[in-house]
Amino acid sequence: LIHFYKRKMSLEFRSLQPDQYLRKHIEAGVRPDGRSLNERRPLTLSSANISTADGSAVVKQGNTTVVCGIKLELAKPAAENPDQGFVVPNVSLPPMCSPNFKPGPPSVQAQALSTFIRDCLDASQCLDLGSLCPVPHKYAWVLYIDLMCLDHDGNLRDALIAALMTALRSLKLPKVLYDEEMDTVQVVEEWSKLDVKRIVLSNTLAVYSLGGTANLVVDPTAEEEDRADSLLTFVTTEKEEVCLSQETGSSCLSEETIQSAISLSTKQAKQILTAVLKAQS
Amino acid sequence: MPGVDLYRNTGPEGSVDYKIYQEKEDKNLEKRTDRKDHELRKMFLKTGVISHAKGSAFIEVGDTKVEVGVYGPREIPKRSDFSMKGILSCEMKFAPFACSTRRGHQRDSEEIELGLLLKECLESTVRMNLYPKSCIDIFVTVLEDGGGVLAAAITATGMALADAQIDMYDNLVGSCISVNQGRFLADPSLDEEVSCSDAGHEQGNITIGYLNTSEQVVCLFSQGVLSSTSMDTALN
Repeated sequence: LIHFYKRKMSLEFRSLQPDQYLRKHIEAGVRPDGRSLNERRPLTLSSANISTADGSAVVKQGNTTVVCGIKLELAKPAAENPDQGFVVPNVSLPPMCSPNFKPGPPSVQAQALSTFIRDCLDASQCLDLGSLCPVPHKYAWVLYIDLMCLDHDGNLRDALIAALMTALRSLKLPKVLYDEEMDTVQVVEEWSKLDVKRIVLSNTLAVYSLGGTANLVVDPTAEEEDRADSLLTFVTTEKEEVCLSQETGSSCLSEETIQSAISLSTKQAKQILTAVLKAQS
Repeated sequence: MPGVDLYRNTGPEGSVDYKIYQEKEDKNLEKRTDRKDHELRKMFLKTGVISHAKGSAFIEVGDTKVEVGVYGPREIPKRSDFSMKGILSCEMKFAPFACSTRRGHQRDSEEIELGLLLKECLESTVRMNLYPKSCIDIFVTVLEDGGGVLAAAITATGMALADAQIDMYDNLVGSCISVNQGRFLADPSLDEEVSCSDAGHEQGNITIGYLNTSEQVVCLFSQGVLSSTSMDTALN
């Protein structure tokens, strides 16, 4: 009976004072869902689920669910880069995934995430655009990468990058035969895999400043993200090179904090890497 | 696509689906290989797939995958829409990778039409008089189109509304039939839905939304040329 009342009171505390509720947990080194500060939610990856897409992946990280679909199209290459293909990533956060989003043009978060994905692809150089041009000056592949969030429970960046990588590794390009004399092109169903040079992994940490020290919390849920002082994201490759880092929020981070964040990120990235590599086999 | 999309990363203009350069193979639709004419495809249904939504459902019929999220009853966003009977808002969206040819991010006429059909289907099913001054938002996302999308969406929406504990008059299910040269094919796949037969023969698809216990049809959507006797047989 005492347990019942304790639980009831803790739920009331959670709804009346969510900030205090969360911070008390973090001071004690746990989180409301029982994880420790360095523990990730269980990650499930599956690839090539959608037959209409040329490459696809579904990632489930706790409750956060993200679908990535890649469609291939052919276009004339740009005049300034006649032997390069195009990669067009877009993130959509439909109103279905969270009560915070309303129907209409992409929200600020969706636009920011689209830019984040594009920057990650550019900075990591994981795709060689030259390999995406079967007929220079005439025909180049356009990779339309559409990432859709089906359920927003925090830490979208990690899930989006994991889905992106799994989908890219599942992508198969058909063969393009070009007849120079007739200037015609034909696409034949001989599939080759896309050459992904590096595997990019992202790790997001929520920072809580409690009593002067900054507490780093790995893989925050939506509730934890909203109440954090700031969010740190490190994007690394499988060779442990940091290619992108972002911080949003209001806390001042000391050098030690950033160093410990980077080493924590590389450790976490290894876990995601094993999952991504397993999804392909 | 005309106009510049300021909110999204855009690709080069004039990109085309590579399938137009492929040789189309003639699919033999004389006989169904995997099932009989009146047999349905394997179905997978699950509710409670979206953690933040009041109710949600995911349906997979053959290749078709549809996910529905229901939010509500909640406050009406615009005061001008005040009404003593609740408001239903139904939005359907195909994911860009859902169909053979890539779809744009903005809703085109087909999606708006299907959304309206679904809404009309629900107007007679959901007891809106129990939710005055509120609105119920239903968001349907088609992740893959393998034929029979509207029927799958109707079934999934019925389940999501039940999962959201919203009062309805009856269980709602959707089903569709394709008529092709005198054959009635239940639950057509994408190839069967869009196949063309010679002129002079009947060819069409019928999708209905059906209330189970009260045996009422709440939505009827048909495409193609069908005689009235075929319609009767198909509805039965």
